[in-house]
Amino acid sequence: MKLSITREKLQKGLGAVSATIPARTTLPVLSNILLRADGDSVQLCGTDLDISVQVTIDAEVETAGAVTVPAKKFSEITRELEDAPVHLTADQDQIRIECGRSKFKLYGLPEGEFPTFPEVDFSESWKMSAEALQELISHTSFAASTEESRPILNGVLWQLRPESTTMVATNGHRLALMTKDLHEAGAPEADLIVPPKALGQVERLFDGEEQLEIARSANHLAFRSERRAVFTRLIEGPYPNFDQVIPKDNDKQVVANRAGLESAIRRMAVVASDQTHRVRLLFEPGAVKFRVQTPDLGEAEDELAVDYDGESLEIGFNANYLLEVMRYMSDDDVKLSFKAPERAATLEPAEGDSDYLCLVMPLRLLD
Amino acid sequence: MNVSRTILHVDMDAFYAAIEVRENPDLAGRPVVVGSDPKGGRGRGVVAAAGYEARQYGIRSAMPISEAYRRCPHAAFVRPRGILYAEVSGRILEILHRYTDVVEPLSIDEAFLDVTASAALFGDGRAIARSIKSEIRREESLSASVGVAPVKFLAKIASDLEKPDGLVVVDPGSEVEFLAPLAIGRLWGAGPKTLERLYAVGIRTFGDMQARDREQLVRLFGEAAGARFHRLCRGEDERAVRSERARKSLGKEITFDADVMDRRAVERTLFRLCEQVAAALRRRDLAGMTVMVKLRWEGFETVTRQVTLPRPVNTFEGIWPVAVRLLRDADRKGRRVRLVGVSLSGLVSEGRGQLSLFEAADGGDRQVARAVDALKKRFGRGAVTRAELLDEE
Repeated sequence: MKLSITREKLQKGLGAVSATIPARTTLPVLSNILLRADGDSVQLCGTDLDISVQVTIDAEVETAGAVTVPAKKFSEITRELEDAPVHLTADQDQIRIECGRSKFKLYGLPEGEFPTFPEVDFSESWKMSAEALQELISHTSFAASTEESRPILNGVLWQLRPESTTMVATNGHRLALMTKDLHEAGAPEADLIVPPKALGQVERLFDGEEQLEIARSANHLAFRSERRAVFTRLIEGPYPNFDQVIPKDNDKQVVANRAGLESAIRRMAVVASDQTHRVRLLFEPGAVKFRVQTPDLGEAEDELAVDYDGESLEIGFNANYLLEVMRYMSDDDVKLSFKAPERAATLEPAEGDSDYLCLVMPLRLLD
Repeated sequence: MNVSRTILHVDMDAFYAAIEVRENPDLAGRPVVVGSDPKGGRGRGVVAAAGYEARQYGIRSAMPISEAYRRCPHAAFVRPRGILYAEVSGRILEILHRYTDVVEPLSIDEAFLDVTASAALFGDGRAIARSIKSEIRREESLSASVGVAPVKFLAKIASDLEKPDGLVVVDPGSEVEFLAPLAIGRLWGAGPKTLERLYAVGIRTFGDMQARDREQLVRLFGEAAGARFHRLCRGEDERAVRSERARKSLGKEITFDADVMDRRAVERTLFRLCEQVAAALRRRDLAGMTVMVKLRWEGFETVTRQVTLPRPVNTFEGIWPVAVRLLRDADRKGRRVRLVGVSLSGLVSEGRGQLSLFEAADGGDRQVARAVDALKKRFGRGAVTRAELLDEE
C-alpha cells in the first residue's frame, strides 16, 4: 500500500473513526484502525465489535493494499504534522508516515486480524434523511439507561411503522418519545433496539443534508451514505410496553415559560441533595412554588407565574430529570400535565400538535 | 456559632458483657469475655468485649482471644449474641429518642444526642442525663455513663471519666479548665505516631497544649492538624450531632475461622452478607447508592472496591450482582481469604425514593423482600431462606 493524502483530510477521517476505538481492550487489534487503499480513495475503519464506523476519503493511491495502525498514535502524529501532503507506505505490518521532513514508522498488525464487519444486505434497504433521523436521535437517546440491571433499557427503541417512525428511550424513571410521520419506501415494519452509542455516531458522522441508506440483518443495523457508514449490533428485545405507561388521564395541565422554569429548577438544584436531587413543586392557580430542603446543607425557595387553574398539587422530582427533558423542548412554552403526586407527569412543547413527549416519574415526598 | 449547645454522649458500660451477666446471673462478679471460642488458647478470633472484672487482667476488646485466654484462663468465655445486643441497642436508642430527634448512634453501644432544644421540656443537660440513665437501668437493667458538654469532643471525654455508671457535666465556659489536667492521649484524632511526637515536645496534658500558640502547633503538626489541635485543646469542636438520617454507611463483614481458599465459600458468605445488609437497610427504611466490597487476604492485606449505582438499592437482588462482580474484580486467585465484607453508603431514606414507570418490573423484588421481612419477624429468622442457603440453615 502506498498513497498520498492531505493532512487535513486524514485528520478529519481519523477523528471520525477514532470515536469507536475502545480505550481498553483485550483484543489488541481493536486499538487499531484499518486502512484500505484502492482506486482513488482510502477507507478507514474502526470497531469495538459492537459498533463499526467506516469513512472513505480521497487519496492519490499509488499501490493498493491494506494495513492496521495503532489508532491513538496515528491520530496524535497526524495532529502534530505540518500542513503538507502526507505520504503513507505500508511494508508488511509496518507503516511509514512522511510529511515534509518528518518521518515516522509505526508497527501495526496484519490486516487479516481485523474483525470482519457484520454482513448487512443492502438489497432490502430503505432511505431516510439524515436530518430527520438525527432529530429523533437527539431528542430521545439521552433518556436511555446506563444501568446494568435491565440491559434492554440500555437501548433506544426504534419503531418503524407504515405511516410513521418513533424513537423511545427510558431508564424507567423518565422517558422521551418522538414520532415523525414518515413513509419511507421500502422500510420494514419493525421494532429495533439500538445502542445509543451507535446512534451517537449516526448523529455525529453524517451531514444533515445527506440521504441515508439503512438496512438490517437479524442482529445488525447499518446506516450508510456515499462515503460513510455505521454498523451496529442490535439489542435483543422485547422492549417494555411504553404505551401502557403513558398517562391518558392527567387532568391537571400547566403551561409555563420554558426558560423561566428551567432556570428556577437549576437554581433549586444547587441546594438539592446530591443523592436524590429532589425539588418540591407546589402548583397553585397562577403560580408554581419551588422548595428544597436538604438536611445538613440548606434550603431554597422560588416562585414562577404559570398558566394553571386546577386544584393545588405538590409533587417532588429529581431536578436533573426535569432539566434533561426540557433541554430538547423547542417552543418558548412547555406544557406539563399531572394526575397525582405519585403518578407520571408529562412534558411537551406547548405549541400545536407535538410529536415530542417526555414522561418523568416523581420522587416520593413523604420522609 | 454563638449559641451554646448541650450535647450528651451516652456510652453503655461494658455493653456485651453486661447483657450476658443480665441474661445469666451466674456470671455476676466473674471476669466475662465475649468473643470467639478460645479453644484452650489456640482460638483465632478476637475479644469482642470484656467486662470490668476481665479488664483487671488487662483484657481489652480487639485483643486476640488466645491472648485473653493466656491472661485469664478461668474467665467466662461466651460467644457473642449479635442479634440480642442489636435488639437491646435498638430499645436503648428508643429511650434516647424520647428526649430529642437529634440522636447520632456511633456504634451499637454509644450515641451522641443534641438536647439543646429539649431543655424547656425535660430540663438542662444534667437532668436529661439523669433521667436517661435511670430509664436505661429501670427498663434494661443496664448501666450507662453520660457526658454532658457544649461540644461532642468534650461530651465523649466526659462520659469516660467516671465509668462505670458515670455522669460528668462540663459547663459552658469551663472547657479550658476542664481539659487542662487531662492526659493528651484523650485528644480526638491523635494516634500513636502523633502522641509520640506530642510527648517528644513535652506535651503530656491538654494544659501543656493550651500553653502553645497556634503557630507552634502548626509548625509541629502541619496546617490542618495543628489548627485543629489548637481548637480542640480549648474545647472548640464545631461538629454537629448527625441523626440517623445522616448516617454514612451500613455494612457487615465476617472474618473466617480459618483462612479459606475456596472461592465458592467466599462468595457464599458474601451472598449471605448481602442479604443481611439488605434486610438491615430495609429495617431502617434506608437504601444505598454505593456498594462497597472489602476483601482481606492472609497476611492482612486489604482491598476495597466500590461502585455507585444510578439509584439507591436495598434488596438482595439490587446488591448481590454488583457485590459479586466487585469481589471477582478485586480478588487475586491463589491467596487465602481472611475476611469478606459488603457495605452500602450514600444512604437515602427509602420514602424519598424515585418512583418507577415500570413498577411491576422494578418494584417486584422490593415487595417480595418486604413480605419476607414480615414473615421472618413473625415466625423467626429461619422461616424463610434462599434456596441457595438451604443446606446451611
